[in-house]
Amino acid sequence: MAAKKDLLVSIETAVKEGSEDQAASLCEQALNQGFSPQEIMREGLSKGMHEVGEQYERHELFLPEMLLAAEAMHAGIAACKPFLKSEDEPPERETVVIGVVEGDVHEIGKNMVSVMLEAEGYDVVDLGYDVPAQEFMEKVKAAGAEVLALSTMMTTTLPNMRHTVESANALEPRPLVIVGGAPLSDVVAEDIGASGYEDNAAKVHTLLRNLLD
Amino acid sequence: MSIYPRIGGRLIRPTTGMIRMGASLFALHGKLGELLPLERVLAAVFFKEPDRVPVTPFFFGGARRFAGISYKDFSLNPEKAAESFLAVTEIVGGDALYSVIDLSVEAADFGQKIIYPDYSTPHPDYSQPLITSPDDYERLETFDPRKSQRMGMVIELSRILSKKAKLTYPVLGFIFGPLGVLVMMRGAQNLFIDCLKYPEKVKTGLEIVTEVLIDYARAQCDVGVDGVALDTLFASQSGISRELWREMEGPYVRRITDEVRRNGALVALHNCGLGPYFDLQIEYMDPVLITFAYLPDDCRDDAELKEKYGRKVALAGYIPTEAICMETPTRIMEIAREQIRALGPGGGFVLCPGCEYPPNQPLINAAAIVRAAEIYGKYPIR
Repeated sequence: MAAKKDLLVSIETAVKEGSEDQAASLCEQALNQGFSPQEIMREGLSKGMHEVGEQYERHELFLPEMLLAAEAMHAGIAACKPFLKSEDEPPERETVVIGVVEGDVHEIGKNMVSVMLEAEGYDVVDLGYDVPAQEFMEKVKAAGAEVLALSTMMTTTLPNMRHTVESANALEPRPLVIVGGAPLSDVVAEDIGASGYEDNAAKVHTLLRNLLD
Repeated sequence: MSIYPRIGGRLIRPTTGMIRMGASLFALHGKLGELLPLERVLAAVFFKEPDRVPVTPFFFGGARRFAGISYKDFSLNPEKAAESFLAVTEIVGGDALYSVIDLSVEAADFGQKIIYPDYSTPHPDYSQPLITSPDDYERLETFDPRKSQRMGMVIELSRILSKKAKLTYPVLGFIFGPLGVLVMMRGAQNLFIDCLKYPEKVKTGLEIVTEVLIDYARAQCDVGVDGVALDTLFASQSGISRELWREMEGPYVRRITDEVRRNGALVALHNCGLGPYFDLQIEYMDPVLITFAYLPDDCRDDAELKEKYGRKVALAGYIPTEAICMETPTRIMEIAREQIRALGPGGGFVLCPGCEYPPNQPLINAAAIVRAAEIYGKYPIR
Protein backbone atom coordinates (compact mmCIF):
# COMPACT_ATOMS: atom_id res chain seq x y z
CA MET A 1 0.00 0.00 0.00
CA ALA A 2 2.81 2.36 0.99
CA ALA A 3 4.65 1.64 -2.28
CA LYS A 4 1.45 2.29 -4.24
CA LYS A 5 0.99 5.59 -2.45
CA ASP A 6 4.62 6.43 -3.16
CA LEU A 7 3.91 6.20 -6.85
CA LEU A 8 1.20 8.83 -6.61
CA VAL A 9 3.53 11.02 -4.58
CA SER A 10 6.18 10.61 -7.30
CA ILE A 11 3.66 11.71 -9.92
CA GLU A 12 2.81 14.72 -7.79
CA THR A 13 6.52 15.51 -7.49
CA ALA A 14 7.08 15.12 -11.24
CA VAL A 15 4.41 17.78 -11.83
CA LYS A 16 5.88 20.09 -9.21
CA GLU A 17 9.30 19.74 -10.78
CA GLY A 18 7.91 20.25 -14.26
CA SER A 19 9.25 16.95 -15.52
CA GLU A 20 7.14 16.07 -18.53
CA ASP A 21 8.76 12.71 -19.37
CA GLN A 22 8.82 11.61 -15.77
CA ALA A 23 5.15 12.47 -15.26
CA ALA A 24 4.11 10.51 -18.36
CA SER A 25 6.15 7.42 -17.56
CA LEU A 26 5.08 7.36 -13.90
CA CYS A 27 1.44 7.61 -14.97
CA GLU A 28 1.92 4.67 -17.32
CA GLN A 29 3.56 2.75 -14.49
CA ALA A 30 0.64 3.57 -12.19
CA LEU A 31 -1.90 2.45 -14.79
CA ASN A 32 -0.02 -0.84 -15.18
CA GLN A 33 -0.18 -1.32 -11.44
CA GLY A 34 -3.93 -1.01 -11.52
CA PHE A 35 -4.53 2.57 -10.47
CA SER A 36 -7.59 4.10 -12.09
CA PRO A 37 -6.95 7.07 -14.38
CA GLN A 38 -9.13 9.22 -12.12
CA GLU A 39 -7.12 8.32 -9.06
CA ILE A 40 -3.88 9.18 -10.85
CA MET A 41 -5.25 12.47 -12.10
CA ARG A 42 -6.83 13.44 -8.80
CA GLU A 43 -4.27 12.19 -6.31
CA GLY A 44 -1.14 12.67 -8.40
CA LEU A 45 -1.37 15.17 -11.26
CA SER A 46 -3.97 17.58 -9.87
CA LYS A 47 -2.49 17.46 -6.41
CA GLY A 48 0.90 18.43 -7.85
CA MET A 49 -0.59 21.27 -9.87
CA HIS A 50 -2.61 22.44 -6.89
CA GLU A 51 0.60 22.66 -4.83
CA VAL A 52 2.29 24.54 -7.68
CA GLY A 53 -0.62 26.99 -7.67
CA GLU A 54 -0.19 27.56 -3.96
CA GLN A 55 3.54 28.15 -4.36
CA TYR A 56 2.76 30.63 -7.14
CA GLU A 57 0.36 32.43 -4.84
CA ARG A 58 3.09 32.68 -2.21
CA HIS A 59 5.57 33.94 -4.87
CA GLU A 60 7.78 30.95 -4.26
CA LEU A 61 7.70 30.13 -7.92
CA PHE A 62 6.76 32.06 -11.01
CA LEU A 63 5.21 31.77 -14.45
CA PRO A 64 8.00 29.77 -16.13
CA GLU A 65 7.97 27.10 -13.43
CA MET A 66 4.18 27.02 -13.48
CA LEU A 67 4.17 26.57 -17.25
CA LEU A 68 6.58 23.69 -16.99
CA ALA A 69 4.42 22.07 -14.32
CA ALA A 70 1.41 22.48 -16.61
CA GLU A 71 3.29 20.70 -19.39
CA ALA A 72 4.06 17.84 -17.03
CA MET A 73 0.45 17.64 -15.91
CA HIS A 74 -0.77 17.55 -19.50
CA ALA A 75 1.73 14.81 -20.37
CA GLY A 76 0.33 12.77 -17.48
CA ILE A 77 -3.27 13.42 -18.52
CA ALA A 78 -2.41 12.37 -22.07
CA ALA A 79 -1.06 9.08 -20.71
CA CYS A 80 -4.21 8.49 -18.67
CA LYS A 81 -6.86 9.59 -21.17
CA PRO A 82 -6.92 6.44 -23.35
CA PHE A 83 -7.87 4.43 -20.26
CA LEU A 84 -10.75 6.66 -19.23
CA LYS A 85 -14.17 5.08 -19.70
CA SER A 86 -17.20 7.32 -20.15
CA GLU A 87 -18.88 5.87 -17.05
CA ASP A 88 -15.79 6.89 -15.05
CA GLU A 89 -16.37 10.58 -15.69
CA PRO A 90 -17.58 12.30 -12.54
CA PRO A 91 -21.06 13.67 -13.29
CA GLU A 92 -20.73 16.90 -11.32
CA ARG A 93 -17.92 18.53 -13.37
CA GLU A 94 -18.73 22.08 -14.35
CA THR A 95 -17.78 23.38 -17.78
CA VAL A 96 -15.85 26.60 -18.21
CA VAL A 97 -15.47 28.27 -21.60
CA ILE A 98 -12.39 30.46 -21.51
CA GLY A 99 -10.59 32.81 -23.89
CA VAL A 100 -8.99 36.19 -24.56
CA VAL A 101 -11.40 38.73 -26.03
CA GLU A 102 -11.30 39.96 -29.59
CA GLY A 103 -8.37 42.21 -30.48
CA ASP A 104 -6.06 40.92 -27.75
CA VAL A 105 -3.33 38.31 -28.19
CA HIS A 106 -1.96 38.08 -24.63
CA GLU A 107 -2.89 34.60 -23.52
CA ILE A 108 -0.40 33.52 -20.88
CA GLY A 109 -2.63 34.53 -17.96
CA LYS A 110 -5.63 32.86 -19.54
CA ASN A 111 -3.58 29.69 -20.09
CA MET A 112 -2.62 29.62 -16.44
CA VAL A 113 -6.24 29.94 -15.36
CA SER A 114 -7.16 27.22 -17.81
CA VAL A 115 -4.55 24.84 -16.37
CA MET A 116 -5.46 25.56 -12.76
CA LEU A 117 -9.18 25.00 -13.42
CA GLU A 118 -8.40 21.77 -15.23
CA ALA A 119 -6.34 20.67 -12.25
CA GLU A 120 -9.24 21.45 -9.96
CA GLY A 121 -11.55 19.20 -11.97
CA TYR A 122 -13.42 21.53 -14.29
CA ASP A 123 -14.05 20.75 -17.94
CA VAL A 124 -12.29 23.58 -19.71
CA VAL A 125 -13.04 24.63 -23.28
CA ASP A 126 -10.19 26.95 -24.25
CA LEU A 127 -10.93 29.12 -27.29
CA GLY A 128 -7.48 30.75 -27.38
CA TYR A 129 -6.97 34.45 -28.07
CA ASP A 130 -8.57 37.16 -30.21
CA VAL A 131 -11.99 35.50 -29.83
CA PRO A 132 -15.09 37.36 -31.11
CA ALA A 133 -18.08 37.60 -28.75
CA GLN A 134 -20.21 35.54 -31.11
CA GLU A 135 -17.78 32.61 -30.93
CA PHE A 136 -17.87 32.70 -27.13
CA MET A 137 -21.68 32.62 -27.16
CA GLU A 138 -21.83 29.70 -29.57
CA LYS A 139 -19.40 27.65 -27.47
CA VAL A 140 -21.15 28.46 -24.20
CA LYS A 141 -24.44 27.25 -25.70
CA ALA A 142 -22.94 24.20 -27.39
CA ALA A 143 -21.05 23.08 -24.29
CA GLY A 144 -23.85 24.01 -21.88
CA ALA A 145 -21.16 25.87 -19.94
CA GLU A 146 -21.93 27.12 -16.47
CA VAL A 147 -19.01 29.56 -16.57
CA LEU A 148 -17.51 31.95 -19.11
CA ALA A 149 -14.01 33.17 -18.19
CA LEU A 150 -12.66 36.15 -20.13
CA SER A 151 -9.26 37.78 -20.18
CA THR A 152 -7.72 40.91 -21.63
CA MET A 153 -4.43 42.65 -20.96
CA MET A 154 -5.13 45.88 -22.82
CA THR A 155 -7.34 48.86 -22.15
CA THR A 156 -8.03 49.16 -25.88
CA THR A 157 -9.88 45.83 -25.84
CA LEU A 158 -11.93 46.52 -22.71
CA PRO A 159 -14.92 47.58 -24.85
CA ASN A 160 -14.79 44.15 -26.53
CA MET A 161 -14.81 42.51 -23.11
CA ARG A 162 -17.80 44.60 -22.08
CA HIS A 163 -19.62 43.61 -25.26
CA THR A 164 -18.85 39.91 -24.65
CA VAL A 165 -20.03 40.10 -21.04
CA GLU A 166 -23.24 41.83 -22.10
CA SER A 167 -23.88 39.18 -24.75
CA ALA A 168 -23.31 36.42 -22.20
CA ASN A 169 -25.59 38.07 -19.67
CA ALA A 170 -28.35 38.03 -22.26
CA LEU A 171 -28.08 34.26 -22.80
CA GLU A 172 -30.64 31.84 -21.42
CA PRO A 173 -29.53 30.06 -19.29
CA ARG A 174 -27.17 32.77 -18.22
CA PRO A 175 -23.59 31.64 -17.53
CA LEU A 176 -21.54 33.00 -14.70
CA VAL A 177 -19.02 35.43 -16.20
CA ILE A 178 -15.65 35.95 -14.56
CA VAL A 179 -12.91 38.24 -15.85
CA GLY A 180 -9.23 38.90 -15.34
CA GLY A 181 -6.31 40.83 -16.81
CA ALA A 182 -4.07 43.82 -16.23
CA PRO A 183 -6.53 46.71 -16.78
CA LEU A 184 -9.21 45.11 -14.61
CA SER A 185 -10.21 45.42 -10.99
CA ASP A 186 -13.29 44.57 -8.93
CA VAL A 187 -14.68 47.97 -9.84
CA VAL A 188 -14.09 47.56 -13.58
CA ALA A 189 -15.48 44.01 -13.49
CA GLU A 190 -18.65 45.18 -11.81
CA ASP A 191 -18.99 48.08 -14.21
CA ILE A 192 -18.86 45.85 -17.27
CA GLY A 193 -21.39 43.46 -15.76
CA ALA A 194 -19.15 40.53 -14.80
CA SER A 195 -19.98 38.37 -11.78
CA GLY A 196 -16.44 38.07 -10.53
CA TYR A 197 -12.85 39.19 -10.92
CA GLU A 198 -9.58 37.63 -9.86
CA ASP A 199 -6.00 38.72 -10.50
CA ASN A 200 -4.32 35.47 -9.51
CA ALA A 201 -4.67 32.32 -11.62
CA ALA A 202 -4.26 30.09 -8.60
CA LYS A 203 -7.22 31.71 -6.84
CA VAL A 204 -9.76 31.51 -9.66
CA HIS A 205 -10.98 28.14 -8.43
CA THR A 206 -11.79 29.64 -5.02
CA LEU A 207 -13.59 32.53 -6.68
CA LEU A 208 -15.67 30.11 -8.71
CA ARG A 209 -16.50 27.95 -5.71
CA ASN A 210 -17.72 31.02 -3.85
CA LEU A 211 -19.83 32.13 -6.79
CA LEU A 212 -21.20 28.72 -7.74
CA ASP A 213 -21.96 27.33 -4.28
CA MET B 1 20.92 67.93 -34.76
CA SER B 2 21.17 68.17 -31.00
CA ILE B 3 21.32 71.04 -28.56
CA TYR B 4 24.66 69.69 -27.36
CA PRO B 5 27.81 70.78 -29.23
CA ARG B 6 29.89 68.19 -31.06
CA ILE B 7 33.61 67.77 -31.05
CA GLY B 8 35.04 65.21 -33.45
CA GLY B 9 31.53 63.99 -34.18
CA ARG B 10 30.84 63.22 -30.52
CA LEU B 11 28.24 65.04 -28.44
CA ILE B 12 29.68 67.00 -25.55
CA ARG B 13 27.29 66.80 -22.63
CA PRO B 14 27.40 67.90 -19.02
CA THR B 15 28.66 65.21 -16.69
CA THR B 16 26.39 63.70 -14.04
CA GLY B 17 28.30 65.71 -11.45
CA MET B 18 27.56 68.91 -13.34
CA ILE B 19 23.88 67.96 -13.68
CA ARG B 20 23.77 67.21 -9.97
CA MET B 21 25.20 70.64 -9.22
CA GLY B 22 22.71 72.16 -11.65
CA ALA B 23 19.91 70.37 -9.82
CA SER B 24 20.85 72.17 -6.61
CA LEU B 25 20.83 75.50 -8.42
CA PHE B 26 17.48 74.73 -10.02
CA ALA B 27 16.05 73.88 -6.60
CA LEU B 28 17.27 77.21 -5.31
CA HIS B 29 15.86 78.98 -8.32
CA GLY B 30 12.56 77.11 -7.79
CA LYS B 31 12.11 78.84 -4.44
CA LEU B 32 12.01 82.17 -6.23
CA GLY B 33 9.94 81.43 -9.29
CA GLU B 34 8.64 78.95 -11.78
CA LEU B 35 11.14 76.51 -13.27
CA LEU B 36 11.36 75.23 -16.79
CA PRO B 37 10.25 71.59 -17.13
CA LEU B 38 13.86 70.43 -17.71
CA GLU B 39 15.04 72.20 -14.56
CA ARG B 40 12.10 70.83 -12.58
CA VAL B 41 12.70 67.25 -13.67
CA LEU B 42 16.46 67.35 -13.09
CA ALA B 43 16.05 68.86 -9.64
CA ALA B 44 13.53 66.17 -8.69
CA VAL B 45 15.54 63.32 -10.17
CA PHE B 46 18.56 64.32 -8.09
CA PHE B 47 16.51 64.51 -4.87
CA LYS B 48 16.07 68.26 -4.66
CA GLU B 49 12.75 69.97 -4.17
CA PRO B 50 11.88 71.96 -7.31
CA ASP B 51 9.05 74.49 -7.50
CA ARG B 52 6.54 71.64 -7.74
CA VAL B 53 6.38 67.91 -8.37
CA PRO B 54 7.10 67.24 -12.07
CA VAL B 55 4.34 65.46 -13.96
CA THR B 56 3.73 63.64 -17.20
CA PRO B 57 0.47 62.13 -18.45
CA PHE B 58 2.51 59.33 -20.07
CA PHE B 59 0.82 59.24 -23.45
CA PHE B 60 2.23 56.80 -25.98
CA GLY B 61 -0.29 55.62 -28.59
CA GLY B 62 -2.96 57.90 -27.16
CA ALA B 63 -0.85 60.87 -28.25
CA ARG B 64 -1.96 60.27 -31.84
CA ARG B 65 -5.43 61.55 -30.94
CA PHE B 66 -4.00 65.00 -30.26
CA ALA B 67 -2.77 65.25 -33.84
CA GLY B 68 -5.72 63.43 -35.38
CA ILE B 69 -3.59 60.75 -37.02
CA SER B 70 -4.02 57.01 -37.38
CA TYR B 71 -2.28 54.48 -35.16
CA LYS B 72 -0.26 53.31 -38.14
CA ASP B 73 0.95 56.82 -38.95
CA PHE B 74 1.86 57.32 -35.34
CA SER B 75 3.83 54.08 -35.39
CA LEU B 76 5.68 54.65 -38.63
CA ASN B 77 5.95 58.36 -39.31
CA PRO B 78 8.41 60.23 -37.05
CA GLU B 79 7.23 63.72 -38.01
CA LYS B 80 3.61 62.88 -37.24
CA ALA B 81 4.50 61.11 -34.01
CA ALA B 82 6.55 64.13 -32.93
CA GLU B 83 3.64 66.39 -33.77
CA SER B 84 1.44 64.19 -31.55
CA PHE B 85 3.77 64.33 -28.55
CA LEU B 86 4.25 68.06 -28.87
CA ALA B 87 0.48 68.55 -29.10
CA VAL B 88 -0.01 66.59 -25.86
CA THR B 89 2.46 68.86 -24.11
CA GLU B 90 0.81 71.94 -25.57
CA ILE B 91 -2.76 70.90 -24.73
CA VAL B 92 -2.55 68.79 -21.57
CA GLY B 93 0.83 69.86 -20.25
CA GLY B 94 3.58 67.77 -18.73
CA ASP B 95 7.25 68.17 -17.98
CA ALA B 96 8.89 65.64 -20.30
CA LEU B 97 8.94 64.42 -23.87
CA TYR B 98 9.59 60.79 -24.71
CA SER B 99 9.96 58.78 -27.87
CA VAL B 100 7.92 55.74 -26.91
CA ILE B 101 5.82 54.21 -29.65
CA ASP B 102 4.99 50.65 -28.57
CA LEU B 103 6.67 47.40 -27.58
CA SER B 104 6.77 45.87 -31.05
CA VAL B 105 9.33 48.32 -32.48
CA GLU B 106 12.52 46.32 -31.92
CA ALA B 107 11.03 42.92 -32.80
CA ALA B 108 9.62 44.32 -36.04
CA ASP B 109 13.11 45.21 -37.24
CA PHE B 110 14.41 41.74 -36.45
CA GLY B 111 11.79 40.53 -38.92
CA GLN B 112 8.76 39.76 -36.76
CA LYS B 113 5.51 40.31 -38.65
CA ILE B 114 3.49 43.03 -36.93
CA ILE B 115 -0.23 43.73 -37.05
CA TYR B 116 -1.24 47.40 -37.06
CA PRO B 117 -4.87 47.62 -35.89
CA ASP B 118 -6.76 50.81 -36.71
CA TYR B 119 -7.64 51.60 -33.11
CA SER B 120 -5.26 49.64 -30.96
CA THR B 121 -1.59 49.16 -30.23
CA PRO B 122 0.51 47.41 -32.88
CA HIS B 123 1.48 43.91 -31.85
CA PRO B 124 3.23 40.84 -33.25
CA ASP B 125 1.27 38.40 -35.33
CA TYR B 126 1.56 35.51 -32.91
CA SER B 127 0.21 33.11 -35.51
CA GLN B 128 3.51 33.71 -37.31
CA PRO B 129 6.24 34.03 -34.68
CA LEU B 130 9.72 34.68 -36.01
CA ILE B 131 11.22 32.22 -33.55
CA THR B 132 9.38 28.95 -33.95
CA SER B 133 11.75 26.64 -32.08
CA PRO B 134 14.65 26.91 -29.61
CA ASP B 135 17.02 26.41 -32.55
CA ASP B 136 15.84 29.66 -34.11
CA TYR B 137 17.44 31.93 -31.51
CA GLU B 138 20.84 31.59 -33.12
CA ARG B 139 19.37 32.48 -36.51
CA LEU B 140 18.63 36.05 -35.45
CA GLU B 141 20.89 38.54 -37.18
CA THR B 142 22.31 41.87 -36.10
CA PHE B 143 21.69 45.02 -38.14
CA ASP B 144 22.16 48.77 -37.97
CA PRO B 145 19.09 50.19 -36.16
CA ARG B 146 19.65 53.59 -37.80
CA LYS B 147 18.84 52.00 -41.15
CA SER B 148 15.93 49.85 -39.99
CA GLN B 149 12.31 50.90 -40.41
CA ARG B 150 10.93 51.16 -36.90
CA MET B 151 13.98 51.70 -34.72
CA GLY B 152 15.13 54.16 -37.39
CA MET B 153 11.78 55.89 -36.96
CA VAL B 154 12.23 56.13 -33.18
CA ILE B 155 15.76 57.49 -33.62
CA GLU B 156 14.43 60.13 -36.00
CA LEU B 157 11.57 60.91 -33.60
CA SER B 158 14.10 61.30 -30.79
CA ARG B 159 16.12 63.65 -32.99
CA ILE B 160 13.07 65.81 -33.78
CA LEU B 161 11.94 65.94 -30.16
CA SER B 162 15.44 66.74 -28.91
CA LYS B 163 15.67 69.57 -31.37
CA LYS B 164 12.23 70.96 -30.53
CA ALA B 165 12.72 70.56 -26.79
CA LYS B 166 15.81 72.75 -26.82
CA LEU B 167 16.64 73.38 -23.18
CA THR B 168 13.02 73.46 -22.07
CA TYR B 169 11.96 69.82 -21.85
CA PRO B 170 13.95 66.70 -21.06
CA VAL B 171 13.67 64.08 -23.79
CA LEU B 172 13.68 60.42 -22.91
CA GLY B 173 14.42 57.67 -25.40
CA PHE B 174 13.08 54.17 -24.94
CA ILE B 175 14.18 50.57 -25.44
CA PHE B 176 12.31 47.36 -24.71
CA GLY B 177 14.61 45.06 -22.74
CA PRO B 178 16.19 42.08 -24.54
CA LEU B 179 13.94 39.48 -22.90
CA GLY B 180 10.92 41.54 -23.92
CA VAL B 181 12.13 41.73 -27.51
CA LEU B 182 12.45 37.94 -27.59
CA VAL B 183 8.94 37.57 -26.15
CA MET B 184 7.64 39.56 -29.11
CA MET B 185 9.26 37.07 -31.50
CA ARG B 186 8.70 33.81 -29.62
CA GLY B 187 5.61 34.42 -27.44
CA ALA B 188 5.84 34.72 -23.67
CA GLN B 189 4.82 31.16 -22.91
CA ASN B 190 7.36 29.56 -25.21
CA LEU B 191 10.14 31.90 -24.15
CA PHE B 192 9.55 31.26 -20.45
CA ILE B 193 9.67 27.53 -21.02
CA ASP B 194 12.80 27.90 -23.18
CA CYS B 195 14.48 29.87 -20.37
CA LEU B 196 14.17 26.80 -18.16
CA LYS B 197 14.67 24.06 -20.74
CA TYR B 198 17.15 25.60 -23.17
CA PRO B 199 18.80 28.53 -21.35
CA GLU B 200 21.93 28.46 -23.49
CA LYS B 201 19.94 28.73 -26.71
CA VAL B 202 17.98 31.67 -25.31
CA LYS B 203 21.23 33.32 -24.28
CA THR B 204 22.49 33.06 -27.84
CA GLY B 205 19.43 35.05 -28.90
CA LEU B 206 19.88 37.49 -26.04
CA GLU B 207 23.47 38.16 -27.14
CA ILE B 208 22.36 39.04 -30.67
CA VAL B 209 19.45 41.19 -29.53
CA THR B 210 21.60 42.95 -26.93
CA GLU B 211 24.23 43.83 -29.50
CA VAL B 212 21.58 45.60 -31.59
CA LEU B 213 20.03 47.27 -28.54
CA ILE B 214 23.40 48.63 -27.43
CA ASP B 215 23.78 50.22 -30.84
CA TYR B 216 20.18 51.45 -30.64
CA ALA B 217 20.94 53.08 -27.27
CA ARG B 218 24.03 54.73 -28.77
CA ALA B 219 22.02 56.02 -31.73
CA GLN B 220 19.34 57.53 -29.49
CA CYS B 221 21.96 59.21 -27.32
CA ASP B 222 23.70 60.47 -30.42
CA VAL B 223 20.63 62.42 -31.59
CA GLY B 224 20.49 64.20 -28.25
CA VAL B 225 18.08 62.50 -25.85
CA ASP B 226 18.78 63.37 -22.23
CA GLY B 227 18.07 59.90 -21.00
CA VAL B 228 17.03 56.46 -22.17
CA ALA B 229 14.42 54.34 -20.40
CA LEU B 230 14.59 50.57 -20.52
CA ASP B 231 11.48 48.49 -20.10
CA THR B 232 12.34 45.56 -17.84
CA LEU B 233 8.86 44.14 -17.33
CA PHE B 234 10.01 40.63 -16.49
CA ALA B 235 12.01 41.74 -13.44
CA SER B 236 8.84 41.47 -11.40
CA GLN B 237 6.60 38.94 -9.76
CA SER B 238 4.44 38.90 -12.88
CA GLY B 239 7.51 37.88 -14.85
CA ILE B 240 10.22 35.54 -13.71
CA SER B 241 11.98 34.72 -10.45
CA ARG B 242 14.80 36.90 -9.17
CA GLU B 243 17.30 34.10 -9.79
CA LEU B 244 16.16 33.55 -13.36
CA TRP B 245 16.19 37.27 -14.09
CA ARG B 246 19.74 37.50 -12.77
CA GLU B 247 20.72 34.84 -15.23
CA MET B 248 18.59 35.68 -18.25
CA GLU B 249 18.33 39.47 -18.40
CA GLY B 250 20.42 41.20 -15.74
CA PRO B 251 23.80 40.89 -17.46
CA TYR B 252 22.38 42.00 -20.81
CA VAL B 253 20.54 45.09 -19.61
CA ARG B 254 23.63 46.07 -17.63
CA ARG B 255 25.57 46.33 -20.89
CA ILE B 256 22.87 48.46 -22.49
CA THR B 257 22.61 50.87 -19.58
CA ASP B 258 26.42 51.11 -19.34
CA GLU B 259 26.39 52.20 -22.97
CA VAL B 260 23.75 54.86 -22.25
CA ARG B 261 25.91 56.28 -19.46
CA ARG B 262 29.05 56.05 -21.58
CA ASN B 263 27.28 58.28 -24.09
CA GLY B 264 26.48 60.86 -21.43
CA ALA B 265 22.76 60.23 -21.03
CA LEU B 266 20.82 59.28 -17.90
CA VAL B 267 19.37 55.83 -17.35
CA ALA B 268 15.72 55.36 -16.46
CA LEU B 269 13.60 52.21 -16.14
CA HIS B 270 9.98 51.40 -16.74
CA ASN B 271 8.53 48.35 -15.05
CA CYS B 272 4.76 48.00 -14.82
CA GLY B 273 4.79 44.43 -13.52
CA LEU B 274 3.34 43.35 -10.18
CA GLY B 275 5.92 43.43 -7.40
CA PRO B 276 8.89 44.75 -9.40
CA TYR B 277 12.35 43.87 -8.08
CA PHE B 278 13.64 47.39 -7.44
CA ASP B 279 16.75 46.29 -5.57
CA LEU B 280 17.83 43.89 -8.27
CA GLN B 281 17.28 46.37 -11.07
CA ILE B 282 19.19 49.05 -9.19
CA GLU B 283 22.04 46.59 -8.67
CA TYR B 284 22.26 45.80 -12.39
CA MET B 285 21.38 49.11 -14.02
CA ASP B 286 21.81 51.86 -11.45
CA PRO B 287 19.02 54.02 -12.91
CA VAL B 288 18.30 57.57 -11.81
CA LEU B 289 14.56 57.02 -12.15
CA ILE B 290 12.07 54.13 -12.14
CA THR B 291 8.53 54.44 -13.41
CA PHE B 292 6.35 51.77 -11.85
CA ALA B 293 2.72 50.67 -11.60
CA TYR B 294 2.81 48.60 -8.40
CA LEU B 295 4.78 48.64 -5.18
CA PRO B 296 8.07 46.74 -5.32
CA ASP B 297 8.03 43.20 -3.94
CA ASP B 298 9.86 44.25 -0.77
CA CYS B 299 7.62 47.21 0.21
CA ARG B 300 4.22 47.08 1.87
CA ASP B 301 3.18 50.69 1.36
CA ASP B 302 4.23 54.11 0.08
CA ALA B 303 5.94 54.99 3.33
CA GLU B 304 8.18 51.94 3.15
CA LEU B 305 8.84 52.60 -0.53
CA LYS B 306 9.94 56.15 0.22
CA GLU B 307 12.01 55.03 3.19
CA LYS B 308 13.72 52.17 1.37
CA TYR B 309 14.24 53.61 -2.11
CA GLY B 310 13.42 57.32 -1.87
CA ARG B 311 17.09 58.38 -1.75
CA LYS B 312 18.43 55.72 -4.09
CA VAL B 313 16.34 56.32 -7.18
CA ALA B 314 13.73 58.85 -8.26
CA LEU B 315 10.24 57.33 -8.22
CA ALA B 316 7.81 58.00 -11.06
CA GLY B 317 4.24 56.83 -10.78
CA TYR B 318 1.86 55.52 -10.10
CA ILE B 319 -1.75 56.41 -10.86
CA PRO B 320 -3.41 53.04 -11.56
CA THR B 321 -4.51 52.36 -15.11
CA GLU B 322 -7.89 51.01 -13.98
CA ALA B 323 -8.49 54.21 -12.01
CA ILE B 324 -7.80 56.28 -15.12
CA CYS B 325 -10.36 54.17 -16.99
CA MET B 326 -13.03 54.17 -14.32
CA GLU B 327 -12.69 57.05 -11.89
CA THR B 328 -13.76 60.67 -12.06
CA PRO B 329 -11.18 63.45 -12.45
CA THR B 330 -11.90 64.45 -8.86
CA ARG B 331 -11.02 60.98 -7.61
CA ILE B 332 -7.89 60.89 -9.79
CA MET B 333 -6.78 64.15 -8.19
CA GLU B 334 -7.35 62.65 -4.75
CA ILE B 335 -5.22 59.62 -5.61
CA ALA B 336 -2.54 61.92 -7.00
CA ARG B 337 -2.62 64.07 -3.87
CA GLU B 338 -2.13 61.03 -1.64
CA GLN B 339 0.84 59.89 -3.71
CA ILE B 340 2.36 63.36 -3.79
CA ARG B 341 2.10 63.60 0.00
CA ALA B 342 3.66 60.19 0.50
CA LEU B 343 6.38 60.25 -2.14
CA GLY B 344 6.98 63.90 -2.94
CA PRO B 345 8.75 65.34 0.12
CA GLY B 346 12.47 65.84 -0.43
CA GLY B 347 12.14 65.55 -4.20
CA GLY B 348 12.82 62.30 -6.03
CA PHE B 349 9.25 61.99 -7.28
CA VAL B 350 7.54 62.47 -10.64
CA LEU B 351 3.77 62.08 -10.85
CA CYS B 352 2.52 60.00 -13.76
CA PRO B 353 0.33 57.00 -14.57
CA GLY B 354 1.79 53.62 -13.64
CA CYS B 355 1.82 52.67 -17.29
CA GLU B 356 0.89 54.17 -20.64
CA TYR B 357 -2.18 56.43 -20.49
CA PRO B 358 -4.93 54.13 -21.81
CA PRO B 359 -4.87 55.05 -25.51
CA ASN B 360 -8.61 55.08 -26.22
CA GLN B 361 -9.95 56.30 -22.90
CA PRO B 362 -11.38 59.79 -22.31
CA LEU B 363 -8.63 62.37 -21.96
CA ILE B 364 -10.06 64.28 -19.02
CA ASN B 365 -8.12 62.28 -16.44
CA ALA B 366 -4.84 63.25 -18.10
CA ALA B 367 -5.73 66.85 -17.37
CA ALA B 368 -6.60 65.83 -13.79
CA ILE B 369 -3.16 64.27 -13.28
CA VAL B 370 -1.36 67.37 -14.56
CA ARG B 371 -3.61 69.67 -12.56
CA ALA B 372 -3.02 67.65 -9.38
CA ALA B 373 0.72 68.23 -9.68
CA GLU B 374 0.15 71.93 -10.17
CA ILE B 375 -2.18 72.27 -7.20
CA TYR B 376 -0.97 69.71 -4.65
CA GLY B 377 2.62 69.33 -5.80
CA LYS B 378 3.93 72.78 -4.84
CA TYR B 379 6.96 72.58 -2.55
CA PRO B 380 7.18 72.51 0.37
CA ILE B 381 4.60 69.72 0.42
CA ARG B 382 2.47 69.70 3.52
